[in-house]
Amino acid sequence: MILYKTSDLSYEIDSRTIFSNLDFEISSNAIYEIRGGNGSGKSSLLKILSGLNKMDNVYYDENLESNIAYLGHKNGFVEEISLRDNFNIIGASVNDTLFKKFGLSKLKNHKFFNLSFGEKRKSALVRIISSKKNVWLLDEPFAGLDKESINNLKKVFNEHIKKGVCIIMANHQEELDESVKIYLEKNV
Amino acid sequence: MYKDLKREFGLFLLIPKNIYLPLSIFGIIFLIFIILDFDEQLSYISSFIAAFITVFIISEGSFKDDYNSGYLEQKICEGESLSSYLFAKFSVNLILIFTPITLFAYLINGFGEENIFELIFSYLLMLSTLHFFFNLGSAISMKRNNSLNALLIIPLLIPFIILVEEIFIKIVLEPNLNFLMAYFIFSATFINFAVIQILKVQSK
Repeated sequence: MILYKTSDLSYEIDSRTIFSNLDFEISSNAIYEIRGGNGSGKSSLLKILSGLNKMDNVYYDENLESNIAYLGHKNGFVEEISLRDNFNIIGASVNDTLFKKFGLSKLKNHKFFNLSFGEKRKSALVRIISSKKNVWLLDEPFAGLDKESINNLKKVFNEHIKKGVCIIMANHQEELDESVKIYLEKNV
Repeated sequence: MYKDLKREFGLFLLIPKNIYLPLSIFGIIFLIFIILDFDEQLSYISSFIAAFITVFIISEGSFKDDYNSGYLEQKICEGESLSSYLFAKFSVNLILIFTPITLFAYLINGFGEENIFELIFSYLLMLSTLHFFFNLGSAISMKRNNSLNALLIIPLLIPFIILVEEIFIKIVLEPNLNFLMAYFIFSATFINFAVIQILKVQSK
């Protein structure tokens, strides 16, 4: 099923062209990697796909609404309360298996500001994974993660695309073998 | 709606400073006015000024924390309703901040007035309207981290201040209470609509 289709997509900020002439199709059951250097428009493209910056030359599937799980550069959690409370107040399920898989089980009752950068990122990823939404938009999901966590995350991604999830991520770290690449060139 | 209410109530109950800080600010400012020993008529002005400053201070950070943590961006990108988010924020403030402030103000000023229920209702309307207007300032200044921008909306409150003076000092409820309700409805609809659009633009 086609979720997005772009034709000749261009994007400008303050009269500066960020990317231009972009043509691609995104379907369910696959991982898509948006690749490019700093300032090439990876995060902007994710926001366009989320519908925050709706563009005329992008086709959005009608079932996308309220079916998107989004993780930006920031994690979206409250620093002053514990990890468990952060999940509870947004009504997200505390999935013990996932917490264990990402080494977060012992940190559930710790205040969020006491967690490391990588632990915070993993917590935000657990929220996305347990969200039951079918389109995941992830901005640099591997940033700050150790090798073991990256491997665990890749496994989780592969399990979920078999269940019909579409994963679209901005990534400038190590390439994933099984993903479809969308390359953005920086317009200088 | 339920999810937003759960989050906002959760944040207030899990972080107690969200409740005691506004109440303390209101109490301290009010106490200063009592020590200055204004006459009886001016005690209503004191409670208005204390409420005005308290709502201004608490509204200043209405969206800043959610913006800085990325929650707002996440919510908008996931296509969740910002109307229910604003309604949840308002409900929590109304129950946990504005109602105690109103009771405190009338405890000091006395419940002896003839139209006490109308006056308490007007006081809650006044606080709610101020909250919506200052939320607009907070949304505008969210990205620039400069709360002084919120002061730009104060000219919009000049007719409101005249109404409040008529109600609480001259105790002329008709037709001022109707006008105050109209002001409240305007702020609850149009101003909140503007806030939603500003939050979306700021998150792009």
